[in-house]
Amino acid sequence: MNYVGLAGRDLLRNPLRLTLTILAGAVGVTAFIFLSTVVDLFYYNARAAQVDRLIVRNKVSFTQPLPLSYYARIAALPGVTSVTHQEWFGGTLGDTQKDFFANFAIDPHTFLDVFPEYLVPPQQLAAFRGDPCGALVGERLARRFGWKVGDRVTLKGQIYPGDWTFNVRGIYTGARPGVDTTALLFGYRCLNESDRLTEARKDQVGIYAVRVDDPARSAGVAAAIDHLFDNSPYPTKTESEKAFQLGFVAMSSAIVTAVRVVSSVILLIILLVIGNTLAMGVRERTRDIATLRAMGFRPRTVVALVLSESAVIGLCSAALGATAAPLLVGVFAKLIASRFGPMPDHLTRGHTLWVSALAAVMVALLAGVGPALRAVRLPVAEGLRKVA
Amino acid sequence: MVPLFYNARSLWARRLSTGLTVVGLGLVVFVFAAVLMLANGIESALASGGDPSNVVVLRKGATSELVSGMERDAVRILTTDPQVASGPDGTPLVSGERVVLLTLPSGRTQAMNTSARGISAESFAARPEVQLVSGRRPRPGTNEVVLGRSLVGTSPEATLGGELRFAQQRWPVVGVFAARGGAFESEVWADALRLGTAFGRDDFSSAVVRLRSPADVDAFVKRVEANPRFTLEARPEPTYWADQASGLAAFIRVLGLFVSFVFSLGAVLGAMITMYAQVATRVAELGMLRAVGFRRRSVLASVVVESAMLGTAGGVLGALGALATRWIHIRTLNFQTFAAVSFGFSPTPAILLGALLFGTAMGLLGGLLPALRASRLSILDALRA
Repeated sequence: MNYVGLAGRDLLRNPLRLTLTILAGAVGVTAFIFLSTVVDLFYYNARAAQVDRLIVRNKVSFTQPLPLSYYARIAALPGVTSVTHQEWFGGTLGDTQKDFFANFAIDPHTFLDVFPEYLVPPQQLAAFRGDPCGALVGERLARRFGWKVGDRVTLKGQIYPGDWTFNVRGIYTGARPGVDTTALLFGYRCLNESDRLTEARKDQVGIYAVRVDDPARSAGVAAAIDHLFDNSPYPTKTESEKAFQLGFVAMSSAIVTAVRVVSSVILLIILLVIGNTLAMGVRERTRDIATLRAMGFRPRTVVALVLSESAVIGLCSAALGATAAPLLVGVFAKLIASRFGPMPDHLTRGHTLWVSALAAVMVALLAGVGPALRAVRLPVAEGLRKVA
Repeated sequence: MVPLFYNARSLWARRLSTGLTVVGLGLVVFVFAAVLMLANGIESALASGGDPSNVVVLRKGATSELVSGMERDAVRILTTDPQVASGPDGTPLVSGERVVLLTLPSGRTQAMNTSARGISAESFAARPEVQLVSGRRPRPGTNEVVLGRSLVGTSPEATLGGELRFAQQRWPVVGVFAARGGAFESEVWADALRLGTAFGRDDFSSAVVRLRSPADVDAFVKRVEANPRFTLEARPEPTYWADQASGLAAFIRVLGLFVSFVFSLGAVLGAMITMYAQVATRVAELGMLRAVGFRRRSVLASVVVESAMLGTAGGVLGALGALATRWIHIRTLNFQTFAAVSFGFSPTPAILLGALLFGTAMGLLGGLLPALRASRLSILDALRA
């Protein structure tokens, strides 16, 4: 009998225990992947951020407006290739935030220059540009509410009182998987030229998004923009899109940390369960192991046998867990979608799956070290004498 | 019945695997209890920011003070309502307030959004739970601010005697206040007019109205909504703050219970592995028990009880661990208001009891199948083993 056969026999010595251990490991791996995906969710926007984009916001806070007149002054700066502005509208479908989704007032003519990853068919884009109250709807959002081109959508303004009706002129898709297609974008003129807006609130925008010609110069361009408005009543803070998004993650860091801590606890639990099983197995096989050693097998062969056992358990758990995790993530995304807006497709990244599977196998191997050492440390004579 | 003493001894006899199982179960119970305590902490932090006699008045349809707005005249009209309580000097306790978001520099994470509340003369009187801890109240018409207790030290200048800088102005800190651990403790309070001017807003965002008794609240809410002179809506203050917390609390609760559920499956399997092993190594012993006259169901109960003991031990360990987290304070972004909120893990007897029961239940479930196997052993085979 070769080593593989021997290891196989050892593994199948107690099939029930093996099954339970693998299941327990798989459950742990599933939970670990699930939590990693939740952490990913926080970084989702930051990951989609482009290096050549800057976000200009009011220095006081991003809820304070900036004047529309900054547009031309930013566009004229050297290194700036295009500028667009957007304003968080914060409308809801009903009276509550139960069906939350993001909605922005954007500049129809410059938006796609700065955000080329949003794809709109040319005719739809032309129709959108031609209608002051036209709207572009992300394909996932359109799917969620069954909206088609030509539909009328009425939002209740939270920040801008009243009912606002927009005509869906186009459905946009993402050029790559990371693009958020769950938002509604409508023309800024519809908002700004409405007679419901008081004089004091006209010609204000939320943020400017700026594209620079060379990402290496973006720090310089950002400094130039802030310098330009330093002594105005509306000073700005300009940072890369990534830094802007990471700012939100940083503010939620306590939660992200908590989730990471729980992830480590999970690895610890997998370690305990697998370690426990292996220790039992080794204890039961004390006499077999002593016999092997009495026959002249080297300690390292015995160690290898125990470790290969734990590696197989780890691999099986990882495979099972990685299969089950995306399902769990899907259920979770559905549960929180009503409050935080629809979640992007394919939340679980392949990268996360690989890293988690690898972590599981490593943890399993680690769990095997104790029992393996125990197996070889015992004097052969004592092992042979021992009953049960 | 097989005496419990026997089970305790047999668990002790296999200290290593018992210990590992208990620690595993304990970790699961820990996560379960800690999550419930955290969600409870957020809810109590935000919901206790409210007095049952108080009503928050917002523009109709606005979900939070930050996005709401109302005319100064409307605040004046509210003061004429007969049920409004009066302050010590006889003025009606209606306070127009302006809430804005500011970004303060903070320690390692570079910036934190903080709510600033522009207050009127009545703001303190209308909220008896808000008490100065040190310093004094800001004088009207100046840039002086008072800080909520949990903001102290979160930003370099956020201390008594420090000077905040925002909106291109300096704001000296003259006092620190407490609010029974409520959401106000995460706010900066400044004069409403000065704050409004600095932020280019001359209207109020909301009004807080103190009524003579909590019993008047419902009628007042109806009167506000029926009043044709404005389009406002009123909400009891505790309800308003509970709503502000609901998103974050629900997120943590859903996330936590999801994880606890998945975890508990793993832990039940772990307990099962241990108990199967216990049964397998004790076949002769169990056969002996049967031979001396214990019934099948006694053996079954004995194994289940032993497993439940494991679970309870894990529950105690986990609950104790979770209790230790009450000294940790968390400061994070509330996605609903975009402002930071501070809260802690707040344990309740119900959560701790729930944790113990959760642990015991996991043990019971894990022990059930092994116990069945143990009770089905035939005496003869068992003794021969």
